[in-house]
Amino acid sequence: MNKKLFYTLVIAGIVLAGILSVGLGAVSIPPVEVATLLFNKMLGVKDDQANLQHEAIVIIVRLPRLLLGLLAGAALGISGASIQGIFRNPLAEPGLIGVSAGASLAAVAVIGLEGVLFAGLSNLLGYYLLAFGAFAGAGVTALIIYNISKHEGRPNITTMLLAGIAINALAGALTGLITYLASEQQLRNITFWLLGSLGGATWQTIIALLPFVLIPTILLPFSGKALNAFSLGEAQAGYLGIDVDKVKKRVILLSTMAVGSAVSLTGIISFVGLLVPHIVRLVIGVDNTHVLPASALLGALMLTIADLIARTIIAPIELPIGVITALIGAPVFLYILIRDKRKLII
Amino acid sequence: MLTVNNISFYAGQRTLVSDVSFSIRPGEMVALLGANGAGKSTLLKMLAGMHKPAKGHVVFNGKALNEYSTTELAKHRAVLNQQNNVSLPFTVGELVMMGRYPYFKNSPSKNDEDIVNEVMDAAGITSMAERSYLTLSGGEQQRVQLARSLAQLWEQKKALLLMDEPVTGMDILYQQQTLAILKSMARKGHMVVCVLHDMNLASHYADRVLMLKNGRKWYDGTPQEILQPKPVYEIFEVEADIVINPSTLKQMIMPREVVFNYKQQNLNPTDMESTQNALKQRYTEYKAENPKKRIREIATDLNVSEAELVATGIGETAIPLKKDFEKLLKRVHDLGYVMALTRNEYCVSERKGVYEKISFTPHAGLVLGEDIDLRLFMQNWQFGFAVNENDRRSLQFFDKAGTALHKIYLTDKSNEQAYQTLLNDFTDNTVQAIQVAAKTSRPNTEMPDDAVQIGDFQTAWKGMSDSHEFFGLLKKFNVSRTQALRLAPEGFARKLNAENFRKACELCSGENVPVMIFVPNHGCIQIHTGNINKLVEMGPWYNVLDPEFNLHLRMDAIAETWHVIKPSTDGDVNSIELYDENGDMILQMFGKRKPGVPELNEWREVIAGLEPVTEPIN
Repeated sequence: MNKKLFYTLVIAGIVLAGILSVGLGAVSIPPVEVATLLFNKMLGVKDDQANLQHEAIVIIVRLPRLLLGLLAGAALGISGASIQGIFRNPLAEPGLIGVSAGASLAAVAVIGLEGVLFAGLSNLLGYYLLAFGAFAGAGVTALIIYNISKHEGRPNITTMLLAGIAINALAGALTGLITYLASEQQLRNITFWLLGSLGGATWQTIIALLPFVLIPTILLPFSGKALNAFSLGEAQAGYLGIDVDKVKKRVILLSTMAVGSAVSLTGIISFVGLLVPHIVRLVIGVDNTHVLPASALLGALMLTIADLIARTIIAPIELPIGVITALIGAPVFLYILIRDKRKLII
Repeated sequence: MLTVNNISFYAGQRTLVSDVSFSIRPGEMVALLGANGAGKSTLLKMLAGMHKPAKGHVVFNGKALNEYSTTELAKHRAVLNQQNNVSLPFTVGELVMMGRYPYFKNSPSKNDEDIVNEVMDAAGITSMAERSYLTLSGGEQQRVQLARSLAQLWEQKKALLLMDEPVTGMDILYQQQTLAILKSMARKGHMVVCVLHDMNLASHYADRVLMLKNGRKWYDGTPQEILQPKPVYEIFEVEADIVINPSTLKQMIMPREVVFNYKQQNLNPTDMESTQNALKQRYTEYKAENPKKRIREIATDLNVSEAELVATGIGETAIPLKKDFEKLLKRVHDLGYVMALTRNEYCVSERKGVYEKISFTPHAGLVLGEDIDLRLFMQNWQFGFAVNENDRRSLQFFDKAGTALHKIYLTDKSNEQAYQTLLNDFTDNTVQAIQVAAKTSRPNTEMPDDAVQIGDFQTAWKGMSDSHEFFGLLKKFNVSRTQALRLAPEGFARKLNAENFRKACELCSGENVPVMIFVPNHGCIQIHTGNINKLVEMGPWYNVLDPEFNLHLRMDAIAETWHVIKPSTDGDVNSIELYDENGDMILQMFGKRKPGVPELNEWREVIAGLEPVTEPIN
């Protein structure tokens, strides 16, 4: 498909899904009213006829949630594409560099051991303790894996992959241990976090998250050319004038930053980072200078739709978003896999 | 200009490249040859700036390689790897465009696009531009990579192309086309270094050949100079023949057949010892059942080499010797009066005397005593043992396949003390078992007669001033010995009836005509000079049994008998030569002669009495 057409469709999709997403829910607000409301709000126009209850729902609850979905989706999509590029492996995803496992372990630890270890901190940070903990956990694990994989000052990608698997397993075991010891209430919280949710969105969290996602999303596409060269192997990329070590460090740092900050607020959302770049490549080709920004956009769109489904399908009960992404993502991924077996064989 | 000064590279304790120097001029296409693991790829990576040499440095167009920035180097040096796995299904056009990456930041210029189109044309891949790289065949992929590397340098001058096996996996047309493209790049003024495994391609396309072995530069020169049997054997351990392609007049290298020997494949010492113990048992039993058989025959019967049988006695009857044979041989003089034994498949020569005037030149070792007269080809000597068979003590030497080359037996008059001292100095206690190479079979690779420049060959024969020039003649015209005799000028070689050797011996014995008898193998030629007296026939063996000299010859193995005349400044030199059915020389007999003195008349009379084969020969 034409790249411009793809971009147009995805952006149109985001606008449409956004309006739907803001409108649909326990209280339904017609799309026209949503559009007017947002339009007026943006332009600062005072509308006397506006439904104040609707306005409150849109501005305080649904809009931040939409934005969190867009940011987290963009972060997962673009990081997924970048990590696949740097690892030269289409099955790689941000989880490989330990971000998800580290965030999970830290989050579960915060929930499970809150009363024991983090009582003081909890008072101080309140709700944000969980987010901070998860972000710290993501960063620390990524750092450990990165340092293990370093050989003579440069990260070795194969070692990194293997170290990632080992550290992920270790973090998973510790997470399991804490889960096993958790109380009934803690268990619910843990499960909820591990399956992901956009429920924690507030304007404060959005503003805190914004730079962590925006900076990587803007900067990563500049590594697109370098990641193309990476597909020939690191050595050949070097021969083509790419500063291989710098690119690796930059991509790993930016991806960790984006995904770590996103999952710290949303919990684990599986399959987006893996699936989105694949769909993009099938549609517009494999050139990373386009795959990267397009993955950010498609990721944003997918997560918005997933959240919409999670909130509405058995309303008023809200399903974990990770369940939806996996439920939709896994069959789609399998479908692509079976249809394009040959193309995917490396 | 690329100048490489004494560069080395190590991986931990292992030396991958050691002290290599050379330089390449713009316009030159250099083929880099060597066995697997010789260090070719490592060297290439150093030239590419990927590996920093541990020692030495590389200067590229007047500037040290490590002073180039990554981008600057990318514009003047392209690399084609041995393996080109691409992890994403890029289109061919996109992939070739990667060659232009050093030239643009975000999107390619018109110029970049034009160049991509040009190189795709040159590599013949324009029609595939939109296809996914991963759907291409290996050879097509390699061409795409070639186009990519050309795109990298297309508008540059004096750039460097480093190609690691660029034609591996291609069909013969694309192999040739690829090398032709590379050669044309060289002719444009670039420098091309190309790792090749096909020596015939190197012969046709390279201006120069570098051969590496064990990380060192072994040979450097034109293909005509380097692609010769000796360098090829040294580098690859494969025997090969060189033929001139009649239509291109370029050299062609034809490797000879190699026989697979599983025993050679990385046996570890324990395996070697247990194999040896099993063999020892078989040997002991077989010897008990066949007490009369000689070790060489037993070796043949058991399908092992003689050296392996000797090695079963390590610790009891055999002492391994250090592989410092030249030093050892120089000390054989101290042993005094000994018996030297040299044999080939069908003939044994035993001569008693003292080893004197022992010296070594790069070509051969010499023992030039009155009694013991030897030419030694040390490059074929591999194993040495001091052997004690029921108090018959000897030093025995074998080639790498375990075939005996030369033996030195002590006599009653030998110096025992000196023998002990020699053993003390040369015993190698580290050897517990040996591992022999497969016997190299020698298929008959004689050139067809009509490919030999017979006229020139015959003129050269007639023009010889010394009989020693004969060997050079064989090499120059690339003919085998028996072929040379067949193509000899009229009157210079005649085929004799098989009985004539016996007849000549009887005449020489009866008339007391002193002779010279040469018994050769590939490690040693033993020459007996003197009279022969007692002639004895025993079964298939014809023997000379004199006190100082014994000869045992298998008459039934003689396939051809020749009378050969070689001109010299001292007049014609006549010889009788015996060959086996493979065309290998069994024995050669001359009249006793010295340089500067004409041949004995008595010998000429003996020769005159010989009868040629009755049917005419061509």
